[in-house]
Amino acid sequence: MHDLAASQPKLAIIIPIFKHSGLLAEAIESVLRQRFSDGIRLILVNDGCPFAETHDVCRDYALAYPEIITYLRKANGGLSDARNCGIRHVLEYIPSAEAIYLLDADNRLRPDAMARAKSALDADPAVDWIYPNIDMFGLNWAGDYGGTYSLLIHSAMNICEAGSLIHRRVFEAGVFFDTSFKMGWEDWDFFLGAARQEFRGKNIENFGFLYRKRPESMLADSERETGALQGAMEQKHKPLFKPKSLLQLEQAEAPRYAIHLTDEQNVLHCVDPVAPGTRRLSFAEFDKEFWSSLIAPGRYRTPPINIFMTRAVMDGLTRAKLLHNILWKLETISDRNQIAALTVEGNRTGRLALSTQTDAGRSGMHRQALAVALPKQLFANVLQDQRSDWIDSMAQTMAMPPITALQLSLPEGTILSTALRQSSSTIYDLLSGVHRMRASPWRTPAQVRWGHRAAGITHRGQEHILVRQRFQNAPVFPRLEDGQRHIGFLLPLVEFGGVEKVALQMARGLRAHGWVPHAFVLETQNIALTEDWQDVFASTNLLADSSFSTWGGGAQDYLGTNVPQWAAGGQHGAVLGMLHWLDAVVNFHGGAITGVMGQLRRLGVKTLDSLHLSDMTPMGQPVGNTYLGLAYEHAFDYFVPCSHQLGNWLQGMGVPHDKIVPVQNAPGFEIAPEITAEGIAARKTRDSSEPLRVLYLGRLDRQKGLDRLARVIARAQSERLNITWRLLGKAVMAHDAPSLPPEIAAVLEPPVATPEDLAEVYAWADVVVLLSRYEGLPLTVLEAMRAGAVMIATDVGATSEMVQDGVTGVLLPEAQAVPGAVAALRRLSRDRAALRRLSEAGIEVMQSRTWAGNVEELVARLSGSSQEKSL
Amino acid sequence: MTARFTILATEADLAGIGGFPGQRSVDFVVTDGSGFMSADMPSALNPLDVAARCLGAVVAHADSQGPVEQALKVLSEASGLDMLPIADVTDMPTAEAGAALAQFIAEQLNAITIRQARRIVDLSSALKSVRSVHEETLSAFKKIEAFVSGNNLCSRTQSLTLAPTASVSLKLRAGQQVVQRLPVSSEGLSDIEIYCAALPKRSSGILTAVLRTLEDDVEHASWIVSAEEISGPTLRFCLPVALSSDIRSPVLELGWDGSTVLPLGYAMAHPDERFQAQLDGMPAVNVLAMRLWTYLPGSMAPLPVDGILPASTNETDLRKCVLDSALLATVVNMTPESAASEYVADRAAIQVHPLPEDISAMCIRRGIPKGAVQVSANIHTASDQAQNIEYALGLLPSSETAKPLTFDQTLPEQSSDWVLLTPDSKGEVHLFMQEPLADVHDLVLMTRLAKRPGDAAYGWARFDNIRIQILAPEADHDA
Repeated sequence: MHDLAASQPKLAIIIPIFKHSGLLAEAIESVLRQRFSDGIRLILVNDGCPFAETHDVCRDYALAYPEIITYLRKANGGLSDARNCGIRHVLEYIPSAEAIYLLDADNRLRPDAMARAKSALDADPAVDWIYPNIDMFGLNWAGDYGGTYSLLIHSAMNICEAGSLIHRRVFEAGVFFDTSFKMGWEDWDFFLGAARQEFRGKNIENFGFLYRKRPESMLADSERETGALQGAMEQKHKPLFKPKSLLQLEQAEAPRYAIHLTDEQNVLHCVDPVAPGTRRLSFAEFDKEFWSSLIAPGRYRTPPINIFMTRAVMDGLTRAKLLHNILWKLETISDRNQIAALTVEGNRTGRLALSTQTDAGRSGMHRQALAVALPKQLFANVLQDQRSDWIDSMAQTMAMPPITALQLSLPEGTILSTALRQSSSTIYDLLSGVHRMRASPWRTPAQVRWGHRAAGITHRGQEHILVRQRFQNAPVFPRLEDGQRHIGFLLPLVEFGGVEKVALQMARGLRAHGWVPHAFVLETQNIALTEDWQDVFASTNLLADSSFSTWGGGAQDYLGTNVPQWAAGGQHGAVLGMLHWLDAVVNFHGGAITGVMGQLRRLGVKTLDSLHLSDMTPMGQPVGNTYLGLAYEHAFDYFVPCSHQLGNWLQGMGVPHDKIVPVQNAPGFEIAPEITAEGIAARKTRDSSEPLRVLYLGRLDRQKGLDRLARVIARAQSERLNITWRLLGKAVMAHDAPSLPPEIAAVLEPPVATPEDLAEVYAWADVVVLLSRYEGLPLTVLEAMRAGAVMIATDVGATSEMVQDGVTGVLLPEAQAVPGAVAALRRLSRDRAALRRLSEAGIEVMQSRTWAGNVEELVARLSGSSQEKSL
Repeated sequence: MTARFTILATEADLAGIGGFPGQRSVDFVVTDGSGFMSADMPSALNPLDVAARCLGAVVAHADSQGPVEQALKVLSEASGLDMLPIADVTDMPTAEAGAALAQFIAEQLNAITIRQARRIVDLSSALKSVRSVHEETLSAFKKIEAFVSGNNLCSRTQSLTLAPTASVSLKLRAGQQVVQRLPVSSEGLSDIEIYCAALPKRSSGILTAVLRTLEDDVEHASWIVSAEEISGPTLRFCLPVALSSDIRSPVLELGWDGSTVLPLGYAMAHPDERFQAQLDGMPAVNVLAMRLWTYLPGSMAPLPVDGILPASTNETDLRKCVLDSALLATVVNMTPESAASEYVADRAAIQVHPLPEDISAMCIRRGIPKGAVQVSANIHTASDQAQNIEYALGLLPSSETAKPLTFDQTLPEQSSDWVLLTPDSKGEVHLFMQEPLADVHDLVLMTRLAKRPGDAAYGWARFDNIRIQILAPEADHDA
C-alpha cells in the first residue's frame, strides 16, 4: 500500500455516510490503495447515521490510520450538508489541500484515480474540476462523458458526477452544495452554480471511478421526481436558462451552422455569422471533425445544419440585410429532413418576396440554387451510402432527393440582386464536397464501433434543440446580443399605407436615438421594398409561415372585436423564436401577433403597441387593433398611440396613464428642407387668377370619403369654380372600392411613392382635400401642411390636433363634409390672401414636428426601462 | 499524528491531570466551553472531529464544571449524540483522582471493546458464509466448464477484424515501441492477432508484447517472440484465461529489438488519436491491423493451435490445444467423389461421408503443429439409417505447394486404428505419435464402410472437437 500520509496533504477525499455502513469499507479501502505520493487526507463524515456499524467502521479506520483518516460525526442534515461539512473542515483545517474529491460511500476508485485526476487538474490552470466517465458496476453500463466541456449541454443534463476532483478555489469562492436539494440532483446544481461563476470542468477518460448502480437508489428516486427537480433547477439558475444566454453558449460552444464557403475552401461554424466567435476551418479540418463526430457522437460534434454557398452569396445576403432571415428559413426547411435550396431572382416591381416550393427537384429549379442546406443526418447518410447515385442525381433536372426551394425575389437593378446575380455552381460544389468527403480516409473507421463505452452525452451535436425547447421546438432566429439596442417593428404587410409609413419614420426617429430597428412582416410573403426602407431598417424579415393569420377564426370576441384564433391558441414557438433576441418590439396593427406579447415580456423583451385608428364595421361600430390591444393590455409595457386623442381614448378605456406614450405622427416621408422651401417659394409666385390647385391623394375607398369627393368635384364643376383637380390613388382594399365615379375617373392619376414625387405633388397643390369617415392622425394632413398646402378635412380621428379651423386649415363637421368642402373651395379660390394665411400658419406649425423629436419621450421611457432591467 | 481517544478538560485542570498515573493512554483536548484545542499541539480542533473520538470529560475543580458542561453540550448538538459523561474528581487527592480517571477511561473503552468484539465475530461469521458461497460457485462453474467443453461449445469467438491495407504498413525498427489501444472492451478478451510479415532468413531479434488496461494500468500478460518464430503473415497472442468481467480499455504494447526491420500491418486511418497507433509516443494516423477473439470472461478456453502463450505461463510438459472452427472451415476434400463431405458450420464438425467401396478422406492443411504427440477427435454417426462406419486419423507431411490434394487409397504412414461406430452413436478416435512431430503436418480424417461394397446412404460420419497434445519445447522428455 502506498504511504498516503503526509503532514501537508495536497488532496482531501470526503466520504459522506448515511446508511451505507455495509459497503463503506470498500470505498475506504479503495482510497487507502491509491497510488498518490503527495498525501491524501480522507474525511469520513457520519451524517448522523442511526446504524452503530457506521460509527464503528469510521472510528476503527480513523484509529487504524490516524495519519490519513479524519472522522467527523455530525447531526443528520442530508447529503449536501454532509459534503459541505467535510468541505468546510478541509478549508479550515487542511490548508495544504489543493483539491477535494467527493466519494460516495458505495462507490470505488481504481488505484491511480487520484494521481491521474490531480495531474490533469494541475496541467491546466483554466480547469477547475476534473470529472470522470461513468463506469458502472452492479447494473453494468459504461458511459463516455468525454469531449469538450459544454455549459449548454450541462444546462440540460448532468454531465459531471459528484465523484469529481474539484479545485479548492471553487469552494473558496463560496460554491457549496445546496442543502434544499434533498431529492437528488444536488451535484448538478452544484456544478451549474460553479459554472455560473465562470469555473469550468474537464473530463479525463481513464479516471478510474466506479459507480455502483442499483435499481433502487437515491438517483432512481430523483429520476422519479424529474419534473419538479427540473423546475427547481431552472428557477434557481434562471439567468442561465434565458434563451439569450443559451444562444450565446450555442455560438461559443456548439454552433448550429456549418457554412461551407465553396469559393474560399473553408467552413464557418457559427450561429450568427456576424457575431464574434465564428470559427473557420479548412475543408480537411472539417472533414476530420465530421467523421470523428460520426465515430464518437457523444464526444465530438459538428454543426447539425450544413449550408453550401459562396462568400459572394453570403456577402450579398448580408448587404441585402436578409442573411439571418434566410439562414433561419433554410434551417426551418431542412428540419423536415429536406434539402433546402435558395434561389434568387430579380424583379422590376420593386418588391421583396419569399416563398417555398416543395418537390423543387422535379423541375430542375434546384440547379439554380445559390445556397443549399442539408441536415446532418441526411448528409451523413449520403456520405455513408454505398452508392452515390441518389445524391448525384441533383446534377440532373429530375433529382431524387426531396428538395424544397426557398425562392427569394428582389428588386432588380439594386445592389441586392446584382450581388447575387451570377450563374450558380452551388449544386456542383455540393456534389464536389460530397465526393471529397466520401473519399476521405476517415470514412472507413466510421463503419466500426470503437471503444466499449456508450455515448454518455446524448445531446452532443444536437445542442440547438436545447435552445429550441424554449420555443416549442421551433427553430430559433440566429441573432445574438451585441451590446446594441435592437427593436423590432411587427407589421402584417408592407404596401406603404399609412401604418407602414409611420413605422418607417418612427424607425428612423428611433435610429437617430441609437436604437437599431428591424422589420418583421408577419402575414404576407411579398412586400413593397424601397431604398428608403432598406436604409432605415437594419434587416427586413419575412415570417413566411402560412399558419399565421392576422385575423379570423377566433372563438370569442372582446368588446366586439374577434380575438384571432392564432392569438389565443396558435403555434407561437416559431414567432417567439424569431423575436426573442430583440430588446423591444412594436406591434403595428399586427392583429393576432398580440397573442405572443405576454410571452415576449416574460423573455425580457419590451412590448409596445403602436395604435393608429379603430376600424369600422359596415354598421359603423369601432373594432380592430385598438380593442385587441385592450384585450391584451397586461401584455404590453407601453401603448404608443399616434395622437393624443387616441391616447385619451386608451386611458378612458382603462389603460393606466403611465403606460401610454403618444408618438404623434409627423410627415410620412423625409424630404430635403430646400426642396420643400422651393415648393413653398414657387407657390408664392403664382398669380391669383390661376385656377386653385386642389389635390387628393390616397386610397380610393369609402373610408377616405371617395363618394363625398365625387360630389364635391361635381358641384365645383357645376358652379364652374376656378379650380383644377389632381387625384392620385388606387383602391388598395379592392373589396371596399365602389366603381369609380366618372368625375374621379376623369382626373385620376396613378399613385406616387417616392419622396421626391410626393414633394412635387404637394408643391403643385394649393389645397389638399380629405373627407374621410374615420382616420387616425392622417399623414396626408401633416405632409400637406409642411409643404404649405392648405387642408380641407373632415373632423374625424385626431385631425383636429393639427387642423385648427380657420387658423391652419379648414375643419369640417362630418355632416357638412360636402357642402362645407364646396364652400371652402369657393372661398379660397376667390380669396388667395386667406389661402396664404392658412398656408403660412400650417408651415409654421410643422416647423417643429419631426419624428426624432416626437419619439424622444418614448426613447426616454425605453431607456429608463432598460436601466431598470439591468439593475 | 495521533488519533487516539480523547478526554475533555479545561486548561486549568490539565496541569493537575498531568500528574495522574495512566493519563498517557488517551489524548487530552482543552476547552474553554466553546473552542477545542489539542493539548499536545497548539492547533484548533473541529468539534465534529472531537465528538467522534471523545470518551467524555474530566473535572478536577469546581470552576471547570461550567465550561466543561458547555463544551459537552456543543459537541452533543453538533454531532447529534447524547451528552458524554463526566469524570468528576473534584477535590480528590491526586492518586485517588488518577485511579478514578483511569477507571472512567477503562469503563468507556470496555464498552467499545465489547462492541468491537461482537462486530468482529459477526464479520467472521459473514465471511464464512461468503466463503462457502464462493466455493460452491467455483465448483458449479467448473461443472459448467466441463459441460461446455464436452458439448463442443467452447471456442474462442472472433469478435473484430481490422484488415490490413496494402498501401501502408509500419516498419518497426530496433528499439522502437508501438502502442495500440484496442477498440473493444476488455471483458472476455482472449486473443489478439497482429499482421506481421515473415522476416528474412537468418534474422535475429525479440518481439515483446504486453497487454494492459488503461483504467488501472494493470499488465495482464506479456509475450516474447523470437525472430525465428515470426514466419508470417500473422502472430496470435493468446491468454489461457480470458480477461475478467471487469470492463476496461485494453492496450497492446509492442517492442522490437532485432537485426532487421519488423513489418507490421496497418489497417485504416483513424481521426481520433486515441485509436491511432502510437509509435514511440507519436500518433501514426493508422490503426494496427488486427483480429481479436473473446471467450467467457474469466474462463479457460481451449487454446488455438497457432497461438503464442504468455511468457509467464507455467507450461506443463504437455500443452492441450483444440482446432478452432476457423481452421476446420479450411478443410479440403481429398475424395471429391464423396460429394457430401463438407464442413458443417453449425456443428463445428467435419463430415466425411463414406464411399460405397473406398475410403473417403478430408484434409486439414498444416493442422498439426510441430511437437504434437497425440491427436484425438470425437466421432459421431449422426443417422440411425446409416451402415456401420469406421473412422481413422492420419498425418501427412505438409506441402508448401498449393497443388490439389488427392487420396490414393493408401493409409498415411502415421495413422490411427480404425474405430467402428454403429448407426447413431458416438465415440472417440486417437492417434499417438511415437516421437513428437518435427514439423507441421496435415491432418487427414478418414471413413469407410465396415462392410464393403455397401450402401453409403445416410453416411453422416462426423469428426469434431479435434484436440492435440503438444510437448512443450525444452521440456524434460526423459520418461
